[in-house]
Amino acid sequence: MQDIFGHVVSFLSGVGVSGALALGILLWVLNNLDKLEALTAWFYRTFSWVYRRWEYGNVATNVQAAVNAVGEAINKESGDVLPHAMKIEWAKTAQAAEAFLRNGEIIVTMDYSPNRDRNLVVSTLAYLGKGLLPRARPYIEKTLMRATDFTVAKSIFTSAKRSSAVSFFFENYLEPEMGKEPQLRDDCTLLDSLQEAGFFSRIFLRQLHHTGEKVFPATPDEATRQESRDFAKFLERIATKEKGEDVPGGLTFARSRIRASVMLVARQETKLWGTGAYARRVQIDLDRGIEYMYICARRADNISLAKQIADEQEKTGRLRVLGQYPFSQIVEGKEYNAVCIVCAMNLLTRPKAALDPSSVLYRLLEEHIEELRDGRIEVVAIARQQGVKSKIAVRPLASGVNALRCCTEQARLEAIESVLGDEQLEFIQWSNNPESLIVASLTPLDPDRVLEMSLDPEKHQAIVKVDGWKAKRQALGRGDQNVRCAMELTGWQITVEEAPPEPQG
Amino acid sequence: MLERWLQRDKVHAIHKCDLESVLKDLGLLDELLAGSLSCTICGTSIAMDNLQCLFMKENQIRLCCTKIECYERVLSEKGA
Repeated sequence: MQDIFGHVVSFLSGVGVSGALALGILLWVLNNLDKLEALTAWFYRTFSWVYRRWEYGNVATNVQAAVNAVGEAINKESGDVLPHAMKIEWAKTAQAAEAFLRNGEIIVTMDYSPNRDRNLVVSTLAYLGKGLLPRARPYIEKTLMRATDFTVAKSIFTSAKRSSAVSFFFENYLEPEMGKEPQLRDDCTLLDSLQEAGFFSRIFLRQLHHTGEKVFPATPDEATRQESRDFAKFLERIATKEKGEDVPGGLTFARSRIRASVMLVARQETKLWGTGAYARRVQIDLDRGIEYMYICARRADNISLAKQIADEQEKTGRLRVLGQYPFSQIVEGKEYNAVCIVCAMNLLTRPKAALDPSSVLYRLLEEHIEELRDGRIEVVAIARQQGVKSKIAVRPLASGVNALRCCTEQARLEAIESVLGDEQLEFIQWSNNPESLIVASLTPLDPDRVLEMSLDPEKHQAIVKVDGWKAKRQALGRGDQNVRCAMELTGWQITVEEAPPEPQG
Repeated sequence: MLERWLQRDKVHAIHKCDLESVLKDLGLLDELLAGSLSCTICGTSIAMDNLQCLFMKENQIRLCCTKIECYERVLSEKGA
């Protein structure tokens, strides 16, 4: 017995206290297997309750984190298009489920956390269906709204770096639907082009949000829905235009609900027209009741010019800069830095503008010229010497429309002139070519009498050499009124000279 | 930013681990397992793996399958 005790003591001394404890537990287990199983069952019960809480939290926070982070980013660019963050609320019992259902809610089924893609896609679509542009939704054309939901959903999945969710969404939702509905495919393609140009959130979503806030809770009608579609197409024309080309239909969208314009700023145009052209554009848009102007530019030099123009116009009180949104734009395969400066036109200054002679004239023209009201022609610039002479530069915005003929139609002209009294009205065709525009602006000078013109784009100075003193007098006008008006219209300093006579013999 | 988080848009959901018990308590499980429940929108037979959402219509609980057009129709009728 003493030997056995001695062996046990020496063994315990060898393995230490912990070893002795482990040995004790092992002996207990081997003797109490039923109690061990009961203990294991308690352990699993407790763990599965914790596991289930973890599982709910895992699924919910996985979805919420992805959606809400991107939602904040979208709101920064586009205003409050997603006014509320998303929250998953679980229906864990039948009572809870029934309560939600009786409240008019939908209950979506969510899978276990490993199936993250399906969970993210299903819950994002449910969230966007009520959370995206909640006030504007009824006023947006149905297929366009679906395409907008899908485009925002894609943005969320891409920005959250959930490429597998993008693939899941594309294969199970987007592609099958676009295959069945060609209009949806076209709308998704349209919105993709806006996305590439940086217009989707900064201009399109923002403008729809503003319109919704303005119009809600008026009864939605087909005309309003069609306007949303036309606005999307208007932005598409700008987003996809070729470099240097004019945008068919112009850069202003003035309808009953949506009144917005886009100003594209480029140093090249400034060299031709000076910054005065942009100022005139702002005034004309203000006179037309445009509510928002989006000043866009790409490349560093144009961006600084765009900011300068926005600052200058803000100082005049014509507009208020709401925000400057830099982004990357891909054009013809190259990436450029770009900016979109969102401005709210200060329509409260319009009563002052009502005293502005040019604005009064503009409203008179709008009253009598139908094509101006419905956007088929555009007044690009007005130079007015009240009571004496006014020059108005116009251009067509729709094909097949003769802007000059619309303005000089006899009955209309008589109606306008009856209000203006002795003031002389001259309409000229706007041209993007400075030489053509300067020659046209010197009406009643016969263009054939212009022999030579030299332009200094840096100083905006033009020297026009005309054939003979009679042509010079015509170009200058009485008391130089005509050339002063032409200078105001074009933004160029114009000097009219008589060309030296041809040497005889 | 804070306002956005104080009032959140709720997406109501049932986890798959609760689905069977909830459907049983709602009295729908037996019919579902028997294959006699169908999607309200398209009429497809509903099973546990193609059940997308539940909603109430004309005071009755209705089911919707996982097809996108059915799901979107339910979302647009109920959610917007």
